[in-house]
Amino acid sequence: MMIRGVCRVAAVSLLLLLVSGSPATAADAIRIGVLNPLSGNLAPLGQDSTTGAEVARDMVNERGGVAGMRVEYAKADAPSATAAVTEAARLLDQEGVKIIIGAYGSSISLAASAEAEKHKAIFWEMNSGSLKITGRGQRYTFRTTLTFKHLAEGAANALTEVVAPRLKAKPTALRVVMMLEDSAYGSGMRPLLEEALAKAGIKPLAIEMYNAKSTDLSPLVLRFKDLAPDVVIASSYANDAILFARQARQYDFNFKALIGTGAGHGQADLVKALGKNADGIFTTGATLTINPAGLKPQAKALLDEFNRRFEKKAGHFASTHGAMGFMGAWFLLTEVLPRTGGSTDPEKVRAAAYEADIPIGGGINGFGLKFDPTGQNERAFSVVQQWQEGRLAAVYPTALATHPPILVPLARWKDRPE
Amino acid sequence: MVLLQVVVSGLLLGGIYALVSVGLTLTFGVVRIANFAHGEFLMVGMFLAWVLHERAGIDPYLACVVVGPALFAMGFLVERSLIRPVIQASHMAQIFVTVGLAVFLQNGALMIWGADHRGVILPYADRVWFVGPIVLSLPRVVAFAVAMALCLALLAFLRWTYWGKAVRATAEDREITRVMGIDTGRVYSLTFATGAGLAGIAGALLLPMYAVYPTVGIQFVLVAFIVAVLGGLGSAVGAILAGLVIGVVEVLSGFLIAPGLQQALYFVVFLLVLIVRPAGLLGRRGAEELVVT
Repeated sequence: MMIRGVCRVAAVSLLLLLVSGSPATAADAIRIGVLNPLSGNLAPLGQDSTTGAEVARDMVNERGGVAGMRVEYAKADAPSATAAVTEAARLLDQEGVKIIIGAYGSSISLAASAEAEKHKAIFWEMNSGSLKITGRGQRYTFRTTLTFKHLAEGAANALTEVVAPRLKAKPTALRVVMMLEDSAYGSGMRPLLEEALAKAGIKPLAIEMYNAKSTDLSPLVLRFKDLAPDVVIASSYANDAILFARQARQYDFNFKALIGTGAGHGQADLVKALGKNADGIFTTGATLTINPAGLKPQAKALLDEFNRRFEKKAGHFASTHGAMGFMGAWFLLTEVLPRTGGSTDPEKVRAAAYEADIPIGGGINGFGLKFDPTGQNERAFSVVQQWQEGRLAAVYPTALATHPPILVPLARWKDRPE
Repeated sequence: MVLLQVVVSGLLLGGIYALVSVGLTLTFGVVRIANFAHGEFLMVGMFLAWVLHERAGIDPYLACVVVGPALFAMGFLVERSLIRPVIQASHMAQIFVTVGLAVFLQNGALMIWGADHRGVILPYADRVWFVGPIVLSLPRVVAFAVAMALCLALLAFLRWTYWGKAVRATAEDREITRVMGIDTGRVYSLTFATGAGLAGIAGALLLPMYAVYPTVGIQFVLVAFIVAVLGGLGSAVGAILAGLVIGVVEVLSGFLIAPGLQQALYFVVFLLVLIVRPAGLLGRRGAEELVVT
């Protein structure tokens, strides 16, 4: 009898605790799901994107939150497309969020955005460039960053406007090969690169797809070496970008320029692994290193604060993906949610997103914000960058450039230091 | 001439595969447990070697002397605490234990070292030797040589020492061996620990070539299982042979057909061999059948 009574009291108080507990936090905080790959192969950039978004949250909260409410994140780790579906469902069903931001990896993003659409919840893509993410007729999917199309155009610009003039060659006379990893990223880049190059009258000698998880890329290197190309264009993740460069050196495969399309060629891991041999490698994409003369004054101040905070939080200087994570979250928290009065109701957020209108130069990486009818930010663009002294420098378009290009052509491997 | 280079590159890659698989095939053949955490032992070995290099400036090759025994000890503890309770249990339970251990180790590494790709910059990492027109990458040659040496050492151990004989006897029939008064429990501990130690040594040897991150083991463990099964469970020589076959097939098909099909074709070879020889290249007939008592 006694025990039964105790049980009943315990059960009732537990129930009370549950009832009183959850709505209280929901009322004075805005909860947003952050879904990125935090483990697995894609983790380094997924982590950076998350850190960038966290910097935006911290800054917004310190400035009084959104409509007086604190912003809270519910984090989810989605290393694969399968995990993306289950984790997105968990955020939406169990955590009760109405907005998911993320998700960096193209396959992950495609899976997570589909799941969010199914729940009629907002999916806010900040990092992935896969064309298919927007433009499939979704209602609640938005993308603040650039797409693969911008990256491909950037790579073509690097070739025709930066590399060719310095090699004193006509772009059409250059021998070009392409290597693309064979998941959604690389295979999505392929037709876009071919199209962008075809516009400049360039037809690659070879286009090779390969598995980014390969432990040996010597077949690729040896096939390319046979063709003796001037320029290699690559869509790679980190591991394979590093492995390719190392094996190119080992097999003495020389080329005059290497142009990456972001991802592995745009991240600090490349320099950590290759040291000085990363210098001279081109990449395209969004960047922080554009000439600040191209930024609006408040964006300049924001950029400084972001750089400082990111470096403190992550322990390394802000990567492009960290900046894109920040920009995406910052746009959402300062330009969209204030228009809804802090409500995360998907219809209200959607309407507010289409109202947002920031000119180019208004974001820390030069992007503005204006969504086209597919949910794609039409004020995003790509900048040609180059690794110089272990840092990325903007080299094209000239108006945004901070440094002139160097090391075109690249030295032969045997003339480089170890 | 390029083809010769391609074959040599394949052999060197095969050396890496053999190196990674030797420990696995030993555990698989003797303890009769599919150790899904083998790749994570490799990862821990790589991280230990990396820490030794970053903190104490110890060369990864030298670090083998520390990492091998450290992983041996870790393997011993894991066998005593996790494997022993399920040694007579169903395969399902054994799979859950090793997969669980793999997840635990991956996330443990994620907590301690984070998700970054950690590499070491070594002056010799990209150094090559020229034998005529053939290019030999130094770290790959080292990995190849060590794989061969480890295999020979293992064979000598199995052939000429008391515990080696006990291991072979246990692999053949664990019940009869026990009846003969051999402490099979100790054989399991010893074998499992040796398998882990070999994974640790492999990890240290891979560090000059590959960056380490918490899930790096996954990149190697699938092919390690293929090599172990193809070579014949428990056969160190088989692991070497199968590793070389897979390496050459991978690089040749990547070069001749398409780099994108590099990994696809060795599965074809794998299937073909298993159809003809279910026990693997050098496996004892019947060794593929796990008898649970």
